Amino acid sequence: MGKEIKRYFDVYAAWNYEKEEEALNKKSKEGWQLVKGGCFYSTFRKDTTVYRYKIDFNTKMIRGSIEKERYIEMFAEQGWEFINTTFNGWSYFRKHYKEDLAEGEYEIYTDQESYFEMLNRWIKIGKAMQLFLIILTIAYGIGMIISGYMLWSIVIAIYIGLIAGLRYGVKQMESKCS
Amino acid sequence: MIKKSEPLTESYFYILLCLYSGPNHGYGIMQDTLRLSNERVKIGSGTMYGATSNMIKKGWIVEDKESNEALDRKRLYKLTNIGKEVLDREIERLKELLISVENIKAEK
Repeated sequence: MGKEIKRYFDVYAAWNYEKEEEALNKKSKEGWQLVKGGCFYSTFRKDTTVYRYKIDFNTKMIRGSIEKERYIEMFAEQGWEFINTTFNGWSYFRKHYKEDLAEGEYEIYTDQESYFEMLNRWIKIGKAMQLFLIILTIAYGIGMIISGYMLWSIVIAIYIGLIAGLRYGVKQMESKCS
Repeated sequence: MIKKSEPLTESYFYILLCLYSGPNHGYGIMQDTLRLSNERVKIGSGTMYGATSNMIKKGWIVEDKESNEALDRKRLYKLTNIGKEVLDREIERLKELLISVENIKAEK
């Protein structure tokens, strides 16, 4: 990997996605442009062109489809270049930064309703995952009691940790909806 | 309880209104909305995509497949009869609101 390409291993929680956008904008000013965004690491290329970045959540865009083409086109029409979609539904876009453009030109959600709609896409999944993990925890709990495999308490502890994390995350996302 | 039809958001209203005069693509709708609203209502890409997705799902608009065959390969959107009805109902609702304003002022 030469000096032209760099990898950053910054991890952002879903509810802090705006912080990632801010970091991408800052790196862009410093001469590093995102070429592939990811949940565990992101790849950057050296380039002095300054961009503004936006991250959108929509699990329908994980796989290519005609609908995804429509999605990408809708963004391209307003100057947003599609970069990539992560395995869990986060899409990265960038737009050339021009000093004379108003800040509003760099927003993709321009009314509350559509912004909340996007956040709710994540909240729904977060709540569904919570429920799934709760059911798993109960199942493992019963299984542990019946079988006596006390080591399953480790798995249960992990699940409880994940449930707590998701609960916190959902609350953070919901607080943005007000 | 009778299901009350929800008021449209400004974005939705302007999208339907812009399509009233004929098919248009997303960028055209955004530009027309800016012009009509005196630069006040800006519809961003995420908002536009969400709105058009919902409207297609509800049958208010469709992709204008015939024009898509033309050289300009950008997608065009067209108002359906249902969409036109929704817009007409919304216009009636807005008129009613303004009439109420006049009535209250007259009562004073």
